[in-house]
Amino acid sequence: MKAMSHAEASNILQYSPFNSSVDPSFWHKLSHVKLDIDRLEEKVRPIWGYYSNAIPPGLTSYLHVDCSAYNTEYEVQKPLLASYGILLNKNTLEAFKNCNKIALLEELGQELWQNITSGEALKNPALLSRFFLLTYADLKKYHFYYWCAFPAPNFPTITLNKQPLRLADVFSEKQVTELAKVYLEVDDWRERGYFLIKVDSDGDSSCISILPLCDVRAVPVAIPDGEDIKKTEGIYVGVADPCPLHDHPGWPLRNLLALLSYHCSELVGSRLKVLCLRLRLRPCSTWSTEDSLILEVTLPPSPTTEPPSPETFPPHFESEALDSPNELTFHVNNTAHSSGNKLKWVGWERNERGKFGPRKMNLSSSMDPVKLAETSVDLNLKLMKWRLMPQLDLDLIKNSRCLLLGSGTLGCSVARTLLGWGVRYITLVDNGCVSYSNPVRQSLFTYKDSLNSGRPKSEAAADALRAIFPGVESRGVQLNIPMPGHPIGPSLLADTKTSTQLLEELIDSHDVLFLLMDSRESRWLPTLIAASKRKVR
Amino acid sequence: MAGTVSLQEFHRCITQLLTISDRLADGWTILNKETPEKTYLMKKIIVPDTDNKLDVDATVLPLEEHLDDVLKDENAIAEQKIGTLTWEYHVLYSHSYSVPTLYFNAWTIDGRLLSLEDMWRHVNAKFQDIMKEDGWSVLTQQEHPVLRRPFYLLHPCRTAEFLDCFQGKSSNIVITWLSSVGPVVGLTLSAQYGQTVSTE
Repeated sequence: MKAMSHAEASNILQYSPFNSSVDPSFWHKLSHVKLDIDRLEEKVRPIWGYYSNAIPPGLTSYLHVDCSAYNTEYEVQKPLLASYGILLNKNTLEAFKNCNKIALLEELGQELWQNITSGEALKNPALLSRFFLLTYADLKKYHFYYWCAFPAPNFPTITLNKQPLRLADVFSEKQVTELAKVYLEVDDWRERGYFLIKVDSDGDSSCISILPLCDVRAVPVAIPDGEDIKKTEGIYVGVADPCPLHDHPGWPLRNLLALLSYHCSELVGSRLKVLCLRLRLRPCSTWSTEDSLILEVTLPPSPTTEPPSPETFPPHFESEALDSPNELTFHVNNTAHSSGNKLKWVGWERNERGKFGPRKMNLSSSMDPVKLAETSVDLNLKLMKWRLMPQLDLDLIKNSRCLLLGSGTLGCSVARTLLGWGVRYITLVDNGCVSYSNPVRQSLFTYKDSLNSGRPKSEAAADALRAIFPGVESRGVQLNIPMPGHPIGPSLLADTKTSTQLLEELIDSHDVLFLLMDSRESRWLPTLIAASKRKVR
Repeated sequence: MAGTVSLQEFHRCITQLLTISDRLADGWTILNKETPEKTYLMKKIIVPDTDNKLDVDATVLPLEEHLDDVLKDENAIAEQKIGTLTWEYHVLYSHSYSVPTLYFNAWTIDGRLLSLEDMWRHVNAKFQDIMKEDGWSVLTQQEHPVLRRPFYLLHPCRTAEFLDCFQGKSSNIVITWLSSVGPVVGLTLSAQYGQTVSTE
């Protein structure tokens, strides 16, 4: 996996973005909801997604969405973590395309910012895990277009003085397992995404505990000056990290650092130890945190950005107001720090080509009933072939274009059998209509076909084939086959010429000819034509 | 009949399997708990996909937008997207054969289900010889009894014969069975499951 970093020289902390992973079951559910509940309404819906910080190397950070997205209450199994999502399903591809993606991102960003500034996100840090899913479902073709966004502010920009450290290089073997054990004992997933880790050392043994993030202002988080980051004791800012890369953390840390920048003015300028907690299941089935990263982070002293709303930054003027977050006073003219850059929001996912654009899932093979019928028939034939006659060339049979002259008892039975063998192209020819006595012997016709002087046989037969198997290409042609020994008067001459021509064209355009008529004379002309064209009959 | 498992026994076994699974946090969940005839276990894993190349879909290209300037972000790395395969495994009870059955499916990142031929190729190399001879009776495709969508399965016709060998020697026949047949299609059970089976 290549990680192209533009800012390698200046060591800016760079995050690995989330990749959306949408399960087909989500689309099944969305289709039902759209058809039964939403219909033409295009309103936003809250949904759930989930991610994991137990990713094996070789993969990347995923945000999963499946049918559980629609649950009201959400239960995640350890070590999974949930993410708050919003779904907006558009009714047309045009509407999907014309949605203002930047405006949407702004709105999402503002909501996140609101959660941060109000202090809600400090109490329930799981609110920092959010995503947005814009979709369009083509329910005729079962094509699903989607574009996911993971809103995050593009600040603070952190410069790392050192490369990230691997936890196994700092913690002892025992501590690495102890941390995993203690972490997995936290039952509420809301407390497993963003938290604090306290490591006390008491001589030989060490005591590791997980504290809720809201304690961040009550415990000594900042590393004292001069202390080595490799010292294991102390308080770590913890985040469940879904990224397995050894030199970059995943996306969740981004919103966490923005939250801390805002609320912990006293930490600005100090060094913090950040622990990106990653779980790994060892072969002996114990969990370990050995691949976690430790970052030394210094929150920037004064941001060069300001949010577009009337609130301004920096937070160190508002440290008193933070005790009652609902009464933040807004200082509008803090121009010393504004450099004209607005607080920007990022987070739209790039597609497989690295461009900003939606992705598509084609589920016709598992959702389109016509396709399902086709694959079912094919599979059935393949199984028969392997069992009985492996040398059979089913594709040859499937692609044979069959012309059936005569749609009576023989014609119907042959047509049915050909369907059973997987033939997909069948043309039926006849000159008569379905009579009352036909349906009992001629298996493609029903009583209804014989009413009102009877439907033309070839057409009724072709329709019946399609009703049995929609994947067949069937056609009915009403034709009088000219016969030797039957006089052709002047009134019939023109018709006879057209019929002969049509017959020749039909034989030409098919591979196999079946002579299923009820008279011997009618077989003469087709046989002659077919022989001259060397067709199978 | 010898080697068969009753529905109650199946339920007892999968409940025990789940208890161990929760402790190991290895991903098994139970579905349809309320309807005992339709209850089944499910596990999903994602693996890198080296075989399937993603086709560029013509309908998606015109939807791309030039947002690189507005969304310029020096704080994010640009990674190459890797293809993945998602495998889903279901353990169901077969009422007609009275044995547990393993259903599974795999799909690419753009939703395409693997074909039967693809599946056969994915079968563990050690079992390839058996597959050549008798493939269709081992790994085949059917409609999932509960979800009614096409799923692959290890055909249950010989399972009873196989389970008969363990008559009385295993306290959890589902774990014994799953640990034996799962590896054929890439599903493994941690050795920790074995501890329960032998001590009882």
